[in-house]
Amino acid sequence: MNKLKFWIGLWGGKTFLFLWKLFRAERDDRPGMVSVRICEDFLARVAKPKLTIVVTGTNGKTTISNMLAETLKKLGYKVAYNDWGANHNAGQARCLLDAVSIFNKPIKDVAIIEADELISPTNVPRLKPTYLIVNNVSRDSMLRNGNPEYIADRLRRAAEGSPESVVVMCGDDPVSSLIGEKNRRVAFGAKYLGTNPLDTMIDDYPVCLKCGGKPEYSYRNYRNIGEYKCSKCGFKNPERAYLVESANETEMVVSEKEGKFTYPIPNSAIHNIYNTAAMVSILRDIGEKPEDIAKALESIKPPASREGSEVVCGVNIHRKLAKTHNPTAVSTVFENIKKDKSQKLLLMVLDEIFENPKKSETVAWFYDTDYEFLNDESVTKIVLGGDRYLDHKLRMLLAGIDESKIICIPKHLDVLNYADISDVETVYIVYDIYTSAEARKVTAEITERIKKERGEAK
Amino acid sequence: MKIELLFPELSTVYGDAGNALYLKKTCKDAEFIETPLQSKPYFIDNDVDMIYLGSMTEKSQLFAINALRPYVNRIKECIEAGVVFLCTGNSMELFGEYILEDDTKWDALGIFPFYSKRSSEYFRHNSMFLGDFEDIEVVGCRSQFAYIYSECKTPFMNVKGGIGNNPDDKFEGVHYKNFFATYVLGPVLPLNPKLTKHILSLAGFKGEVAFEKEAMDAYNLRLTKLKEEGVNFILGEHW
Repeated sequence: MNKLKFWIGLWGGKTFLFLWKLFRAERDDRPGMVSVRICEDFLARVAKPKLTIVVTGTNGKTTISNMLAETLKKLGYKVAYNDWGANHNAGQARCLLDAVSIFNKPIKDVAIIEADELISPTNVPRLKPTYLIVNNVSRDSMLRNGNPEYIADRLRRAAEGSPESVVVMCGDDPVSSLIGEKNRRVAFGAKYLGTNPLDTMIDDYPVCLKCGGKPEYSYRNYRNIGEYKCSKCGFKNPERAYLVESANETEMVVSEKEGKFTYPIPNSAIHNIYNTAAMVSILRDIGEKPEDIAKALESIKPPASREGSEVVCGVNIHRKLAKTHNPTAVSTVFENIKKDKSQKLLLMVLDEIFENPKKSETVAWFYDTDYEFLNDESVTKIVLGGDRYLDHKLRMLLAGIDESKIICIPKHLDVLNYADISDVETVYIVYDIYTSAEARKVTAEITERIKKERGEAK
Repeated sequence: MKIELLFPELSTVYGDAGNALYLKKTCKDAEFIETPLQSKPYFIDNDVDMIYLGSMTEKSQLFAINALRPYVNRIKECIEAGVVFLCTGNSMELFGEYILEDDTKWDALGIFPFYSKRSSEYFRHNSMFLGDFEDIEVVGCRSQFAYIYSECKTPFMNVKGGIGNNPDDKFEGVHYKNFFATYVLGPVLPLNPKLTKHILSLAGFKGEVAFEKEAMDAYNLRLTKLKEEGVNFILGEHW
């Protein structure tokens, strides 16, 4: 019966996929949904290409999946993957529908499957990938993900359920280090790259996860990512088979057992260096030559960002996506704002809007987030609009920000009424996924105003 | 006035750091002692007026229990003597009899007659909270893997919105003398200036809380919203 369900699921999914492609709607999970609805263990039963890579972890899943797929294509592989971040059952099934024939025989060389961390204990053992990439584990929304140790535990169980999988993991991330201890592991990392991280209230590794001892760091590239050792039990970074020795704007040098090799990078942002290191690790482990990898990486760029920057009549305008409820994401945006020393106006449209407005009530994440980074001379004014405006104001005051710099109001678009652009060098528009439309309106209006005022002045 | 922040490095996972921040901004003349997990708590050999402990990860709970177990008698002595304890989020579970996860049982400090229970699948409960402590309305949020079950005769709050110590309980937290423990987590103090004033008055503090006007504005707005008809307090469960 299960076998029959599988074949119906496969052919049903394939049929839908054919129709979807016919109508140019192939970037859609629904064919996969058909398959998993008909056959619950479709993911286990469907054939996999010889090289199947599951990408998971808190940040960078979609970026790595996309960049790795493009790189493998350039290296001559036929690759099945989703480029739209579909990382649940339907999306994974959709990817594998592309990878097999109607006779359930692999027709691609590689499948790259993005996996949400929470479903990994169930799905990774079904998928039994050749490689499981864990880029990092850091705090996310407490409502969904609890805490990083909880996520690491789910990923540990995922790896244990697929003992033949090789775990490619960030050896600089102590929370990830507990994942795949019984699997073959390939760890990557980086020496100190001069990142000069600011002190942050976010520490996902305050005590050793083995014994509760105090971790000591030789260096940190950001937050708790770096070279660590427990002062009590000696728990430390696993041996990093691929170690980034240095990096500049365009390339990085990686040392490994066969020597030191140079690879192109999209830019010098630390997360892009780690993302590229993850890709290099897996490509080297499957036997690709450094020079071929370097050549393939030359034209690879991260997926288009939902953010954007432009200079309008001499004023820098930056749109920054800050995923609310995720203190790591918002703090990173605030840190980058602080590191930019130009005179800045901040326009924030952060609070998400749900059909049930009460749903976004939780403001606990405000107090895990480094609002203190906004307490800086270069920030001349912060105008914030959204339902939680009074909570934001209190948090900013507690962060030491001068009250005269703060305007908090209930309506998103009313920030425009208080946005004084005279004398500013830079405008940051900080927004959430759910307020993208408002952010676009604010950006368009501010851009017009600058053109009008500064353009005329010119 | 001496306030000990117990294991502050652990109490940073769900916004509970906001409580330490609010205490420091409010009690500017107080001496704050921050005791990391690896150190002997200050209150063991010294008198303090208040002890704060916040939410932590499940593994950290076990580390914290082991760190405090040698001092159970001293903790009881402090509670009986009227030292103010404030425990937010799952730190409350440390003070019960034990923590249960499927067939695994970890002994806790055994100071109060309750136990906590979670599933290894870790279903996460998320909700908003509205409750009464004496004549003070308390607002906040909950996000947790476990519930406590007890015959505790001294709950902290009556539940008006959300759930109590477990989904079937209409009482929330533990309150005995000046010991206050609640599953409400994150910035409990800045979100509840009235409660903060009350608790701090028990520790000897008199005066306004930090940014009292702004905190009261936010508190009153939240209170109004939570009392609106049709508010859905349960934010959902995840596994």
